Amino acid sequence: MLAVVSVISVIGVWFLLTSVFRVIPPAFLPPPQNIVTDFLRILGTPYVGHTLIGHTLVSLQIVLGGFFSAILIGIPLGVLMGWFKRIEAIVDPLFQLLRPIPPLAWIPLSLLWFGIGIQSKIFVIWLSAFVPCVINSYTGIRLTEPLLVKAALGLGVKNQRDLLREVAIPSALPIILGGVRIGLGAAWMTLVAAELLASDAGLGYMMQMARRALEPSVIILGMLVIGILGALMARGLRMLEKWVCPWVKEEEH
Amino acid sequence: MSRSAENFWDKVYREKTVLSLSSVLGFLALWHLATDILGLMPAIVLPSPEKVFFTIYEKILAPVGEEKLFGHIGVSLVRILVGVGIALGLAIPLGILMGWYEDLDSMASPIIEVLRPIPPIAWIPLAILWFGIGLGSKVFIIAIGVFFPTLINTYIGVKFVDPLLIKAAQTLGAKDKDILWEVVVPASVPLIVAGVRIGVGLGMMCLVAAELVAASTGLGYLIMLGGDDLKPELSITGMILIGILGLLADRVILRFERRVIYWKKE
Repeated sequence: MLAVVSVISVIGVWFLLTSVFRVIPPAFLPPPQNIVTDFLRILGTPYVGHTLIGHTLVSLQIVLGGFFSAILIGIPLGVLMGWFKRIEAIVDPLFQLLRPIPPLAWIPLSLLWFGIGIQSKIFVIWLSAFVPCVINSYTGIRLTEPLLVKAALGLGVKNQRDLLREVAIPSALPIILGGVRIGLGAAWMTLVAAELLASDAGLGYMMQMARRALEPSVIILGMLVIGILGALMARGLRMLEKWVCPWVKEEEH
Repeated sequence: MSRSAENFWDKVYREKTVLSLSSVLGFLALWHLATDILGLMPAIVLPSPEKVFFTIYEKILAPVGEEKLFGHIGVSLVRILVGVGIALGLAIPLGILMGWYEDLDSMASPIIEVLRPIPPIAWIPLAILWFGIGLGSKVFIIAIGVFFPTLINTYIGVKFVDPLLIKAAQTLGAKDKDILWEVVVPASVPLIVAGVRIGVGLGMMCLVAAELVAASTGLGYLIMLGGDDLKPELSITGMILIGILGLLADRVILRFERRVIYWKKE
């Protein structure tokens, strides 16, 4: 009840300040109804090259491309690092050297290496999601309960591969999926940064152009779409998590 | 542990050190080989490691743009400190109040839940529109990045304090206000500090993003300039320094944590 009142009153105050009393100029903060009308406007007619749906699809394609390739490479690498001490000894120091650099900081180099097309953006997004995927897979495997391993050995599991597949990976799965979720958040952040800096389509590009045209309502629209898509994908991952590892209890987020 | 087992682990440990060292050295050697010796990569694509090293050395003395190297570091440092300061000053009190007063919680939570999924970097265009391209917009974005993780962790920390502690304090005759300040807040410090740590990590990213998009000073500007001027050694210099800055910030928070929560064992 209070929740509804509070959301309505925020929008109400926003409306009053911008539309009725006009304390805040629309070039600074547009009235809420402008966002709705702009939404309807650019849903059908193109804005800086694409419709809202077009920009969204461009962004989604890049995020998903980078994100899935990060999962495909990151999780196996992390699992191998967690399981084989030698691989850990070789890969981990390199990883520790590169890890403190925020993935965003790679954008200019990536542009230099891959041009301003889609590859440079996929590369940085891959990098941003790759790091948490590796770290969590690695940690998850390393945290495998020794008792489980002993029990499996006692029950006659003979080779390493079975032990890894039947014991270590399932027990690490919740942590691995946690890393995937962190990676998804990082991927969205990096996407926005990459698109703000250099692109000719996508939600970040749309927002950057709207800033130049002094149309804050389109910027806010872009923020909302990015927020909603990110939240939906995170929700989807959480459902997947519940489905894949039903034994994990609901935790507070 | 038997003697042979000890020997075994000794050997494993020694092997690990050797492998780790050779991996880093091998990486640098490959980099050197590919750039300087075989010339597989032109210097405007990937400069040699020595070139990066000399760039760092050189830029300490010679200015890049408006500042010398330490000037850029200083500018970035000021931005991050102001942003973190503002965010902590708002997020920690708000989180404590939201965790403690249910009415405030149910009023503020829905608004926060709407704003939270928006990546802080997506605020950059609006921030530039609102605050210009000076210190204001950067501080605003960094503050947003730090604000949410700190707020959420503070809130969870206060809200889910062990009820037994509260009951014990009540039995001993503590008033509500005393329970909040003497029991609940200290008990939630570990979670608050964890939130600050996540937040500062995010804040570093926001700093870089904000400086990449619009700045004429700072480490992010160096990274961007390197790309624009086809001087990747400058970008790599900036990346290394921002990495070191991030590691140092994390170290400082950890040290602070250990001092404040001395009762918690590692």
